[in-house]
Amino acid sequence: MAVISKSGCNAGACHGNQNGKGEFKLSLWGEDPSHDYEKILSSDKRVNLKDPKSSKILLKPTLQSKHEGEKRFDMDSDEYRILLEWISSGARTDIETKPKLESIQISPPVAIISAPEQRIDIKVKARFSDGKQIDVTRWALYESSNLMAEVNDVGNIEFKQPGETTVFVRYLNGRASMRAAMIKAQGSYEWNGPDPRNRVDEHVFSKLKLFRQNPAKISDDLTFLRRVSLDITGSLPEPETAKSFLIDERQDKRSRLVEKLLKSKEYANYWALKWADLLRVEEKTLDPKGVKKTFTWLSKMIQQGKPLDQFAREILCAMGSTYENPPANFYRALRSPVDRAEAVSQVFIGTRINCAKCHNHPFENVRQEDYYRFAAIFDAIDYEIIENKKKDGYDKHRFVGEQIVKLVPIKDMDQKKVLKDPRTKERPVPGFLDSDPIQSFDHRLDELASWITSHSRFAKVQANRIWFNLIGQPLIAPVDDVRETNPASNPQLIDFLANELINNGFDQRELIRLIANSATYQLSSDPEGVLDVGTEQNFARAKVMRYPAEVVIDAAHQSMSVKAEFSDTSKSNKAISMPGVESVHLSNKPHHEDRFLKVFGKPARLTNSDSERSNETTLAQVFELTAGETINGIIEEEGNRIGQLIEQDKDDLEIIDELYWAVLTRPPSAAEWSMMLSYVSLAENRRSAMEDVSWGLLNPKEFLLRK
Amino acid sequence: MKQFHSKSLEKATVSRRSLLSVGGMGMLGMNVPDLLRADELASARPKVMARAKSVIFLFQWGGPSQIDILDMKPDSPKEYRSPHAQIRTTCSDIEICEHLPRMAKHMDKCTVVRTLHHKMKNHNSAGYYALTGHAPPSDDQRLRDLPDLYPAYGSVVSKFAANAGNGMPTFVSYPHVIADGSRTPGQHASFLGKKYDPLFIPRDPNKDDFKLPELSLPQGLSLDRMQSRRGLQTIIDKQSRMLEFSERARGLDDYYKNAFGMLNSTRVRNAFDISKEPRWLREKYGRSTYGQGCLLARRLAEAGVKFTTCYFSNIIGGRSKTNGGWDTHGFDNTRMYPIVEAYHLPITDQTLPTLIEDLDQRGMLDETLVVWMGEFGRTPKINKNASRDHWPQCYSVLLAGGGVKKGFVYGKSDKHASEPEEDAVTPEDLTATIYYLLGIDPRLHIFDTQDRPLMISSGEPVMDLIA
Repeated sequence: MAVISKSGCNAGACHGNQNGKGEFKLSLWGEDPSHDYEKILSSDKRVNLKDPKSSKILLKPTLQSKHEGEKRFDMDSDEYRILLEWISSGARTDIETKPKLESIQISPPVAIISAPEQRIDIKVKARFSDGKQIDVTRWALYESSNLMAEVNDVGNIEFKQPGETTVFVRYLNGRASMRAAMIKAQGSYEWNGPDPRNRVDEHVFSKLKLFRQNPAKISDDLTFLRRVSLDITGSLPEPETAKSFLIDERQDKRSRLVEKLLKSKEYANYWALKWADLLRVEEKTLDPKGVKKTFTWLSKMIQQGKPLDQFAREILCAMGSTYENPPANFYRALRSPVDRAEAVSQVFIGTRINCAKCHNHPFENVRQEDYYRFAAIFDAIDYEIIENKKKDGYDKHRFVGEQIVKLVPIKDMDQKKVLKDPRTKERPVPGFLDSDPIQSFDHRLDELASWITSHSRFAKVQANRIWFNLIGQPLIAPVDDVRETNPASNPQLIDFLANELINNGFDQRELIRLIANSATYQLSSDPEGVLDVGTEQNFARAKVMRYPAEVVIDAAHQSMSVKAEFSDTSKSNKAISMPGVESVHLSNKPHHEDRFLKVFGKPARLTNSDSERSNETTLAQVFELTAGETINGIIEEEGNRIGQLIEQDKDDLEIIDELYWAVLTRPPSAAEWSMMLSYVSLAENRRSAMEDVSWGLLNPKEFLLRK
Repeated sequence: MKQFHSKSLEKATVSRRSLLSVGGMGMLGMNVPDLLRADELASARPKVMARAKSVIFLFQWGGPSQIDILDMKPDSPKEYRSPHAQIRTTCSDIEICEHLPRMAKHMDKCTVVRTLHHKMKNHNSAGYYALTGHAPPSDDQRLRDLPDLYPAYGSVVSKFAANAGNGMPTFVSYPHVIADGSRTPGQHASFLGKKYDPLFIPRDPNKDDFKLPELSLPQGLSLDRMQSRRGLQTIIDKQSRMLEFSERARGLDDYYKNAFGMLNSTRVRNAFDISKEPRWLREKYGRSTYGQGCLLARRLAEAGVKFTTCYFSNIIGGRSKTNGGWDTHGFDNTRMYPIVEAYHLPITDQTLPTLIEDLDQRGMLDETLVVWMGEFGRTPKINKNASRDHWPQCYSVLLAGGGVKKGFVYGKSDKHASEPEEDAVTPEDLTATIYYLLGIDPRLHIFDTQDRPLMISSGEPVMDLIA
């Protein structure tokens, strides 16, 4: 089997494809050896016991006969020899008799070298059920996560330039990974960073020291103010707030600011928006009333500081009316047992089990059987549809009206609708992903909530998510893919944060406080040309990234003092508190502001993944900013900030100054001042010149990107 | 104003890519071992060589009938047979509907595939299948446009064979978002990312004021003034230094450069300016939204757009003689034949041969693949409304140019055009053929929302179609 995997025969593009290739199908990556044994022996041409050398499994991969998958090994290779010996000795199976593989281990588990050294050799050992340990380095498969480090088929990692990588190893059904790094040449290095303010900094700085890197400087007050306001509340500070923050001389003004932001209603709304993305809060299934109720509930939970474990429990156990008990909309949005199982594991314990729907998970110990057993927990959750006022009778996804979510006895269900494992055609025994059965089917959701919230990955994924939402770069990427084979970039830090979350009683505010008050969070994004300043990936400087769609459009309105009114049913006046997505994603003729939000990546909330929201930058976004109606409409609006300042008889200097504070949270530099001033004074029309200045302020990188 | 901007502004000096990023652990999408990289699986097929520079995809929403247009069965019993006669064409192997006399003169340049087949009976599921080449998860009348569904062909082309340097977008689509009750999936980049979305033009190319919204500035805003604004933006960017230290900031600025480049480029503007076409040619394509859409597609192919999708209609239609798609069930006491005779067939006979002839006369046909297809065909048996219902089991596609054979029929259907009899073709195979003709290996991988590696096509190119 190892020979076949090593040669790539059972890869998804070859015979491991669900339809096989050339009428020869193997299980994907050899997950089902009995099946494969049967298939290989199913034709006496494929394995010719009388004339072993003319077996197709030897002729084809050596290109002695035509093979679409080209050459896989040579005739003088170990692969050829092993297969030939196997056939010659009768092609017998040892599946039943052979000791089972228990685990594989990579040595070393972590390796760091410094240039000019470029190579790390790893060894893979397999441990079998009979206690034997065998070196399988030659037969394992390797993959490096970072293209700057290559790994060959005997486990030699070769770095092309300094960097870090995760090497993923697979042997039979064993999976493991190790981390390797190459750092720059040893030279003079001196730690030049600030003192750690809390344990976050200790973990970040110790990694930087290991890599002989320094952090950037602590950012100035105004950069910090703008960043922390946008990260915690999704909203810009007003010019007066900024000016008084700047002159505030108290030592603890930054942590005071964090406290103030955490108390604001914008904080609750902005983090409700993030949860609404994850819980599929969208109008087609929940209807506008359900969406609004759910968003309001989420915002209230966050405002109240509901501990995250209790918050999860309320969602997982929510039954009853989707109008009276808003969290019940979670099950209203997810209408089948498998959808619920996938969503719950991804959102709450960062485990993506979707692969196991069709085959054993390639990187996790989730077998197809576990998948269906877990899904069976979510079977027999049904709806009493009080009314459905949808207009389109053919649309089975749309519901308009109240529903009661309830548990029903299996025996009362339409038996055709009871979940079956597609392989056995039987109802799976409900159980958790680690194979433990449930105790009582009637109380299974309570058991589920306990299992989820005490799962080691629960705190980890929540901590990772909070870190990501503040810092812009998760410790484990993607945010909701927490598994042993996907190590964190700083394992000590994610463990520390997860423990903090557990120890503080799952208090989100407390964790935000810890992070936002760290020196790490407050570092500048600008390395100021210092060569040994580390990377964003290592948190040596603040991450530069585009702000989310809602934040950009709100900032444009707020900074120009234009009151927004969005076209959603709630007539929201801030995009961060828009409960749903209807006007953006379900409308046939979207308003230009809705189009803006869509172009900038507001998600349609149709998956339960943090990755559905897009923060990439595109050409279409730039066209939206240059030629689109939204930005031009804001700067041209009669009574906007320009109009108000002109009305107040402010002179050019004052207007320009005020616009800078309002849009960029800073005063203009002397050079900017003089250039803007001469632009305005040379213009024929003062108002349009001020509009041009405003456009200039709404488009630079420091407006659109986190600095 | 202008003087100010051009004299006093210097471009921020950028030491491009001087800061190679170290690290990269957990870079998005890089975690899953790419164990299945297609380039490691060099194929036994001839190496992929681009035959087509561009594709013009004319999507016939609603589902045109195979048995009344390209696969007529004049000898079948009355309840199957089309009331229309078939006529000879310039290709001796192909006879087509009598209502397409102009098309008949150009069949020597075309290939007809008569055995495309699948199982999706609902417009949205079948439409998604036809627009992506991947089977939908279910046959659902209101299939939701989920982010885990596959991207449109043009988005895949944008990812693997993007236009370099000619300033034109790779993938353009217009003039409708197609829908049947809910938006049909398969019209955008989906999980590939917004970068690969089409440049979508929701405007009618038959209108006198047709313009690309992206290239038209709001009223009262001149290009000069836009340039001044860009100048002011540059002053501020210089102050913040972000262009110097952030790759992401430079990436965003590159988009501004592109956008202003497009705004300033007469070539790009011209490509979308259909009013530059001579009047007689515009008339020849027909002064309809779809007719001018076909003409615009030629113009775009000429300017270097790689994949242009022109949708025949926004809705499945079938009940009107003036608009809508091909969905002629005979509902609401309408009847299929008077409708297609008055609307669908004349507009097809005006546009399709005109486009093929126009491409041919400009010497572009050999490198421009025209695909004319719907999401399914129609029931071989005429229904009680003297019309036809949905039929995905066997239907016809017309291909022309871009390296496919000329005057050729591929596949044979049974006596009622109800099932493939020889050489059945799946949507997957057709997709693989299109990618292959564009020089894109159909076995390349893309990663979905769960970071799983998926092939851009699970079909095999139909090598017999290729000249």
